[in-house]
Amino acid sequence: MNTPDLAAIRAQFPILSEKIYGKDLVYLDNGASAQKPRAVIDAMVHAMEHQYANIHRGLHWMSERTTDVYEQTRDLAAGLMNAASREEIIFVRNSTEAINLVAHSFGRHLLKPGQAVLISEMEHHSNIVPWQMLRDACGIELRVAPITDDGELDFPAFEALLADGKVGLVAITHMSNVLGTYLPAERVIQTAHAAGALVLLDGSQAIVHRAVDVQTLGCDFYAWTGHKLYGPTGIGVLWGRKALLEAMPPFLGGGDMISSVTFAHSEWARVPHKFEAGTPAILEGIGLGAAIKFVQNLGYDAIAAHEAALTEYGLAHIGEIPGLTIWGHAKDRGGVISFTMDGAHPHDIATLLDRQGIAVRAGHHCAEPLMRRLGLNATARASFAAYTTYGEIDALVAGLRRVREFLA
Amino acid sequence: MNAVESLYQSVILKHSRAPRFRVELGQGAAACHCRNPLCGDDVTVQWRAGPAGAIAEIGFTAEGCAILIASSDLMAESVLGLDRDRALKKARAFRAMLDDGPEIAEPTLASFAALRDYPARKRCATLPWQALESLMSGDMKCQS
Repeated sequence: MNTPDLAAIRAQFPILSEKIYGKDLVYLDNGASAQKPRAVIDAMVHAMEHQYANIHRGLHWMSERTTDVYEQTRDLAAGLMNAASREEIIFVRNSTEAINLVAHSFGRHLLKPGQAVLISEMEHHSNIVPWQMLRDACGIELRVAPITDDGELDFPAFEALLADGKVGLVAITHMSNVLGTYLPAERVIQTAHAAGALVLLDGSQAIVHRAVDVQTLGCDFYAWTGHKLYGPTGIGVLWGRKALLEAMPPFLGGGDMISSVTFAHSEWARVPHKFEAGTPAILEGIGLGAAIKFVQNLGYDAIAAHEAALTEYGLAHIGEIPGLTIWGHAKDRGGVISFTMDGAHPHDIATLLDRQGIAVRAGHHCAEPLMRRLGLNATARASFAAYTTYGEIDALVAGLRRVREFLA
Repeated sequence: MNAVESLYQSVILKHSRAPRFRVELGQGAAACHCRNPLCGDDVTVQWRAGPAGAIAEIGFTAEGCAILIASSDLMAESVLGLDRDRALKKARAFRAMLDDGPEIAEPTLASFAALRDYPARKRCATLPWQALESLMSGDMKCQS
């Protein structure tokens, strides 16, 4: 993206012109949640002002039109991921709910005691805790594939953990929210399948930055969340292969997920509705549709190229600051840069940067086991988006130098 | 320089870089451990009473940010020699100050009021005081 393009993109995000302590907002916490473009805001406001009712069951104009717009998002999501059919798109609240759905409906019912779930050392808590709960409830073993010091999946160890054929599911991040590492996903999937395991990819970070084609990847489940993809909170997607989804029992019970109910017995609706109990996040679903169109209009090629250049620039300039250590040196990495500074706790770094209008994340990033693997309690993290500028990275570098003068 | 930078420069750096009271008192000292699970800050405060019951010795061990270390050190400095009641009152006044209560009289402690604007960081400053409050009140449940 050249400079005029970037200015046009930024102009679509009203929040980016806010001032923090009288300074321009430098928002580098996109890995936690991205800001929202005008199109998303307008789509949600338009629905509330002009076209809103409950969906899927109303027999009136408002309900039918609202259903249409909401269901268009399912088509858009299917298109975004190149799903084989729109029925493979299940709306959930977020990636955490998507993974819990799989842990419950697939893990508890289609995995057998004695089988194992294999995760990695660089998972977010959302891809650890549901499997621990499954382990404790159902006697499923939980295995953890190590990473190398560079922050890549230790592939020989990963293969060794699959070797006994007991792993029924590999649940693994497509892109680390701490190290920025991209998983060699196709190789992981092929290796897992050859060992008889299915694969769930946690795409919370990955789908924001690069095109995801679930058919080319060959995975079995793919989870992601709307609010990191410039959409609203409270809406996410679980994609799953239709045959698998059909074999899985529902997650939550209630309205919308049934075809008939008597006191003696209920029949389930067909996928995807079998997994969508209760009134869904209608407005958020409509907002997510606008977010997907926004991303498609920009194009993943342009987003990926811009962010790759930013990341290279960021790694070079942040890495030059004396006493600063960058964590994660995978060959294939995205725009998430975690760092520590000698003599400065990450929380102090974040507080002092905040006063300069610069928003970064500091803490364990919901990845405590990874922090332990790195021998750390916390890192600071700058994470980029399609609207991030080189000037913002310069501001971060200047801000970090100022922090260093103060603390180190 | 803004209020938070001033706080760091005037108080926090001195006490976090060379904390005089970051010592273990060893066996026999009463101890209270507090942890903030949200950020991993972790502090243990220990003390021993003198013949009249006042704080004759106090020390802390901690893992966390500069605010936690500095606040722990300043706390120890400011309560050394106080009796339980006065130390308890001071602990409550410090915690109340960060919950938008009145600033306390000692200027170095009062400067921590700059953290009122930082809900996520207030706990870094109050964690050692919470441990002290537990020790002084005898209620050893350190809520974290």
